Amino acid sequence: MEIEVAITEGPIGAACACARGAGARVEFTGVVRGEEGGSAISALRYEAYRPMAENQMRKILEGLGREHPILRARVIHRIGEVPVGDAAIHVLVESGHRAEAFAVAAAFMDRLKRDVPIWKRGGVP
Amino acid sequence: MADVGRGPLAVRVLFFGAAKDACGREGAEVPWCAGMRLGDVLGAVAAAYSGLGPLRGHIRLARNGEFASLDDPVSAGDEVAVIPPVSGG
Repeated sequence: MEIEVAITEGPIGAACACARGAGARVEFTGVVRGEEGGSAISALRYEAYRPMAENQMRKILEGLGREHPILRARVIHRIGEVPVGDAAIHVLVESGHRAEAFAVAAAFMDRLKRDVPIWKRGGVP
Repeated sequence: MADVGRGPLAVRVLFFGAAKDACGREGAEVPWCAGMRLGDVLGAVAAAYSGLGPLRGHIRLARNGEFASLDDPVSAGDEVAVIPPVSGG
């Protein structure tokens, strides 16, 4: 199983070619909406405890990979100011069949929102 | 208190998110002493930064990049992070 995690300050790049043997690829993109807390915003700020965040993301994927036979997982989270309409996070999971890919992508996002030290730090007007 | 007390034997404390807002700073140093535990570090910074008080029931601590519990031992030079509820994604 191939795992790639990264925290970036720039735009998140497109996904790449499928892993060999992958019959399913599930991609989730979290996009910044135009409002936060009821107010219109132009961007959302994110902060991370970067080394721990990357380590936690990797550990979560490794754990999920032991539960579900996946071939590859890639997670990129953007920090700093993320403009409305841009991706704040991109999760890609590849597996032989769709069930595992869907399961890992969904479970990862649940774990991210509980155990990965990244914070929304308010909207930019 | 700019720093809890800078010295050769200290624990470096990092504040994030709401904890950073509550303390008004990104970090501090706590003098280390033998037998110190994470709970002692949290107690020291909470005493120094009263704004942390309301957050105490909601924060977790990490030691050297790993979640840890209050009774875990702390060594001089360790990095302790005060982690309020996260909100990535």
